[in-house]
Amino acid sequence: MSEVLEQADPPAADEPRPRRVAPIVAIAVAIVVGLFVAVAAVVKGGDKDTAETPLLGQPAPVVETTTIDGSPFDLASRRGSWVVLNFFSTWCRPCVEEHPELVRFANGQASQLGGAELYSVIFNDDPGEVERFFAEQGGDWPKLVDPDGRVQVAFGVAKSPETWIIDPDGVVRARVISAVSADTLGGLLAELQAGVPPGP
Amino acid sequence: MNGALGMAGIALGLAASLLGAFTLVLAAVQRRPRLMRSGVLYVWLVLGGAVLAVVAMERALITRDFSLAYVAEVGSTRTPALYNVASLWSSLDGSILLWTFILALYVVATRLWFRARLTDPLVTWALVVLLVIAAFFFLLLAGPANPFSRVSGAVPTDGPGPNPLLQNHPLMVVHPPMLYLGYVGFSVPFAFAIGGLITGRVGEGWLLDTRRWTLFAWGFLSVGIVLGAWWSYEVLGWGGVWGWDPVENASLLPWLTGTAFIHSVLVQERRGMLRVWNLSLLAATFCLTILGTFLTRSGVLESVHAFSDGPIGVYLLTFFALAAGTSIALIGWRGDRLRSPGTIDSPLSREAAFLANSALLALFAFVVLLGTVFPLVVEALQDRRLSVGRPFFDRMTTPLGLALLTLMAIAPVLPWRKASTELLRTRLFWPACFGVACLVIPVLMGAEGVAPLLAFGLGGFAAGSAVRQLVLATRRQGVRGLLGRANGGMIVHLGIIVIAVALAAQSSYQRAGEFRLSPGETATFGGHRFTLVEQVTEETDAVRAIKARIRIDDGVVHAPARQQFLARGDIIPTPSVRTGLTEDIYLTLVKPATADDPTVTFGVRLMPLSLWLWIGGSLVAAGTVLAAFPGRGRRRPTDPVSAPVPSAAATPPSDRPSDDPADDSDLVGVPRLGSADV
Repeated sequence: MSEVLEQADPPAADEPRPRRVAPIVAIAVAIVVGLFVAVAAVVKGGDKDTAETPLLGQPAPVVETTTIDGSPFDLASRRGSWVVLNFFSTWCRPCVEEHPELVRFANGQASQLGGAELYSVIFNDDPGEVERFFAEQGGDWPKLVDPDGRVQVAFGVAKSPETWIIDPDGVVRARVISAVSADTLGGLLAELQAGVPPGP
Repeated sequence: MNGALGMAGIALGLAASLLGAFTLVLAAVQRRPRLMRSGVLYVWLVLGGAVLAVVAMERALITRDFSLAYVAEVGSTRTPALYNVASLWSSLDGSILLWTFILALYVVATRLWFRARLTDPLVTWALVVLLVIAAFFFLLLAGPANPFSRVSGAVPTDGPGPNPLLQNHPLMVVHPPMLYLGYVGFSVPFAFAIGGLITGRVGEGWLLDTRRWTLFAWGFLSVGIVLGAWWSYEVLGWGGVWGWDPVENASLLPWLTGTAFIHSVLVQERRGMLRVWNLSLLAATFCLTILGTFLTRSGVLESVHAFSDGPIGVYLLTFFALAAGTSIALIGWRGDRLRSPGTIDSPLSREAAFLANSALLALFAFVVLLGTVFPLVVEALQDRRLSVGRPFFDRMTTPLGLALLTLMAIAPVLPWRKASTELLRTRLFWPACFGVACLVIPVLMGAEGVAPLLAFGLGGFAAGSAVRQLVLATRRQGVRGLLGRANGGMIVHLGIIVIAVALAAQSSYQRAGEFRLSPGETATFGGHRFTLVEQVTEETDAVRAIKARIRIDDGVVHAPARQQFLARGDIIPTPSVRTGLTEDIYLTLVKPATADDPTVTFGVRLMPLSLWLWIGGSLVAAGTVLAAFPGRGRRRPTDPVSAPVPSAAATPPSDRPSDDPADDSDLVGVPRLGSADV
């Protein structure tokens, strides 16, 4: 118990006490935290969520399925055109919010020669629900069913919405996570078509 | 009706917390005790508002009031009653409502606990801080996370129900409330820290006042994290308990800084040192809970815990900046007056060990934070997304974990002030022997790998140390020797050691295989025989489950499944686990048989020591409860040696503040400004 009885050393009276260390340290910490907040705030605004994926630059996984009305679909047979795959479900709020933008994008592409083909891959959702949604909200591009989740697993999609761009050679060129605007998607596609690599 | 009721509750809570905070600030600044008492009345209105909102939401969920957008989003006529009630916290808006409700409970509990000291400026300022936090959460509910907004357009007749992953296991009912009790609980010590800084009473008083609160919050956070890991193991089907997902990290970060705090705070209580460090840890813990909420609820990071994004991010980030800014400014302002008179005399002393532990845990937290936010920084600077994966976290945290185990072995036997190597040699002899045994036996059994073997050896060493302390204490005091912070803490240590060893074993000795069998065929893996009996489909009006019935070792039949939730169409895997003392057999259905392919593909994972993760978690919980009981019968261990004693004669040691913060009122009149070093 000896350690209990010992008193702390009394503060030396003649020691020059006030060294203002704390405010300096505090300011330094505040700057770091402030920078972090600034970064986080900046990132919030961005909707160019292209993500790294091991599939980038690789041939796209096999997509052999049917559209919602039963006609067969094979991604390999779409060689020669730019293909945009959008993973979609009606229960995901960002998907629903994104939808008008996709309609705008699809209209833009349809109006130009050699525009990309847009397909929605139904992501963990009931095809009937999706059909009803499209009937109400517009959008006449094909909807692909993925009943056993094979397509979503092949692409490694964990969360909708995601948008993928596949070039005329069947190579994956971009992956966009979360909702995307028509302008962003169109711009990204134009960059890719012009041969400019997206981002640094 | 439900919407109006809920909005009324939110409005009441918001108004009451703002008015209450304003009144109490006025009272504290003008030193008007009567106003302090009257301001305190508002906390009841805050609770009333929160209760009203929660009741309205539960009523809407139970009566399936699909006119509310939230109910239409997560409610369903086909959800079982239990999960329907739990739907309250199955999505963003409702989880903020739960958070607010728990916070309101804490505010009222604080007011009741300190009822004898309502005119004490420290308590008043702490209540102000709590009310400001409450006001912020009510603001979220009134604006960006309003759970009572109405559906646009026609009222649907049914909804999709909560995310299937959340209605697949009863753990999901208890895990979030536990976690929130932990998260939100740190608001109370944080409020007192800020109160102490504002009033200038930055000595040890506020620490003693809130030490049980800290323990309470820490215990619930720990239990919440373990339950989350368990849920992930039982439900997600990848056989893991921890994936370094941002949401998981968000719960680990405050746990790490909170753990650092409850250790280094002992140094302050005993020796009056590390005051700035402790305040900083507490502030960091609170700020990290807000930051974690921001990271995971605003959609800036990708996470399996997908909450949709909305405008809430801006609010949370602003509040984080406000909380962090206020804390930093106050600590910067008071910091130099907090300097302690003592210094650490020897690196071989308990205080030095606590400091090292604290630093290691803080470093651990920094590494996890870095890994979590690094993608954000890269995105801001380089305009592209990447994710920091398991390898980074595993590589960085393994050495830190091993260093912490080493400290857990040595620190409990160290005396305060100074130890001799001779003393250490005697005290550490048996623990070290046990550690060596824990290293040698697995090696003889053929275990390989440096990191897991080190974890076993160091874990054994640390466990030996903890057991030594418990044996000494129980020999001296009987069953009472398990009570109190030091002894209960050792039981917590044992729990953490068990978890660490089990994690090390899982990460290194897990074996996985995949088999494709027709009904009646048998596969052998890891000494076990797996016979596919048949595939069955079970259908209720909510779920269609395809189950593969697999017999293990000619014994019990297990049935991993794929469940399709009909309302949403989601297909989720449901693993089936045979739990064993040394090894779990974890079965997953990879690909069910179809009309043209009668074979079933299933995965087998042999997971060593899984059961011990949950046993460790229970030990942590039990130890925390034991630590909360005061260990009496000897001199109070919380008495700081350097505590300012106004007059040694007037306050004999036996009259020192007792362990119960409510009896602490004799400290109120003591001027503690600047504490001992003034």
